[in-house]
Amino acid sequence: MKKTAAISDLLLELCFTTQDRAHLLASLEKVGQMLYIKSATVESILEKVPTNYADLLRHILNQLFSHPSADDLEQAVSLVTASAQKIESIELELAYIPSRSQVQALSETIRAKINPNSILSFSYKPDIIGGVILQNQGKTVDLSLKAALKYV
Amino acid sequence: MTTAQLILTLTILVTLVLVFQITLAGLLFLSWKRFKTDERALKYAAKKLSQQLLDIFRDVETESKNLILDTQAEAHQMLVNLPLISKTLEKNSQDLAETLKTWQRSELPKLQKTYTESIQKAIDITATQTDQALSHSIAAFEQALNSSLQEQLQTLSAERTKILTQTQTHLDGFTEQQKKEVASKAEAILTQVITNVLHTQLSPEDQHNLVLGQIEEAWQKGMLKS
Repeated sequence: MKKTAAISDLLLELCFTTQDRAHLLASLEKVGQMLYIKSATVESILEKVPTNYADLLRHILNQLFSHPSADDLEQAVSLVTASAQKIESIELELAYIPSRSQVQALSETIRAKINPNSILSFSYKPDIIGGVILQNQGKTVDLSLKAALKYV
Repeated sequence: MTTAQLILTLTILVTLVLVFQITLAGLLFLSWKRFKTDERALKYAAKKLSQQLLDIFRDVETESKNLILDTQAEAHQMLVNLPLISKTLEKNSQDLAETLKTWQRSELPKLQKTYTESIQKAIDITATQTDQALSHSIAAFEQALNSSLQEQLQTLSAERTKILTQTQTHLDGFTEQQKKEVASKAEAILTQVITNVLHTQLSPEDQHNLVLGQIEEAWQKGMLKS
C-alpha cells in the first residue's frame, strides 16, 4: 500500500493532465514491448524512453529490488501503469489555452482544494467568454462569465 | 205372481228401458249438436284468420312493389343525373385548381414579399440596434474598465437588457412570431458583441488569474465539495 502511495506521489509530480498520463502510458507500453527483445537489458530499455519516465522507473526499481532484472522492470511497469490508471481526472472547460506553467498552477490549486490525487482534463470553449466550468465526479460547477452574464 | 202383476212389472221395466234409451239418445244428440257448433265456430275463425293473413300478405306485396318501383325510379333518376353531377364536380375541381393557380401567381408572391419585407425590416432594426449596442457596450465597458469584473458584467448586462427592450418597442405591428425571431436574433448578436468585448479586454493571463480566483472563491463557499 505504501509502495503504491509512493508511486502515486511520483506520478503526480510527472502528470498534471490526462494528456501527460496518456503520454506516460504510451511510453510504458513501449517499455513492455521492448522487454521481449532477448538481448535487451534494463538500462538499454530505459535509455529509449523519455528521461523523466526512465528516472521514475529507475527510482522504483532501486527501491524495490537490490539487483533489478528485466522481469523486475516488467513488474515495475505494471505497478506504474496500474497507479497511473487509478488517478482521478477533473475536467475543466476554459475560454483560453493555458500555458504549461498555467497548467501546473491550476493543477496545484485543484489538488489543494478538491482532490490531492487528481489530474486535469482541459477543453477549450471560447464561447464561455471567461472563467471556468468544472466537472468532478459527475458534479458540474459553472463559474463561466457566460453564466454570470445571464444571471447578473 | 198373477199375470196382471207380471204384465205390469214387464210394462214398467220396458218403460224404464225406453226412458233410459230416450235419455241417452237425448244426451248424445245434445253432445253432437255442441260439437257441431264448436266446429262451425272454429271453421269461421280459421277462415277469418286466413282472410286477414291474405290481406296482410297482399298489403306487404303491394308495399314491396311500390318500394321497388320507387327505388328503381330514384336509381334511374340518379343514373340520369350522374353525368350532370360528375360534370359539376369536374367543373368545381377545375375552378378550385384555377383559383389555386391564380392565388399562387398573384397572392402568394405578395404574401412572400410582405413576409420577407417584414423580416428584413425587423433585421434592419436589429442591425441598427446592434450597431448602437456595440458602441453603447464598448463605451459602457470602457467606462467600467477600472471597476471590478462583477461591476463590468453588471454594466454590460444592463446595457443588453436596455437594448433588447428598445428593440421590442420598434416592433409594433409585427406578429408575435416575428417579434420572437427578432428578439432571438438581437440577443444572439448582443451576446456575441459582449463576448467579443470581453475577449478583447481579457488577456490569457487575466483569464488564468480569473479562473484561479474563481476556484479559490468557490472553494471558500463550499461549492467544490464532492
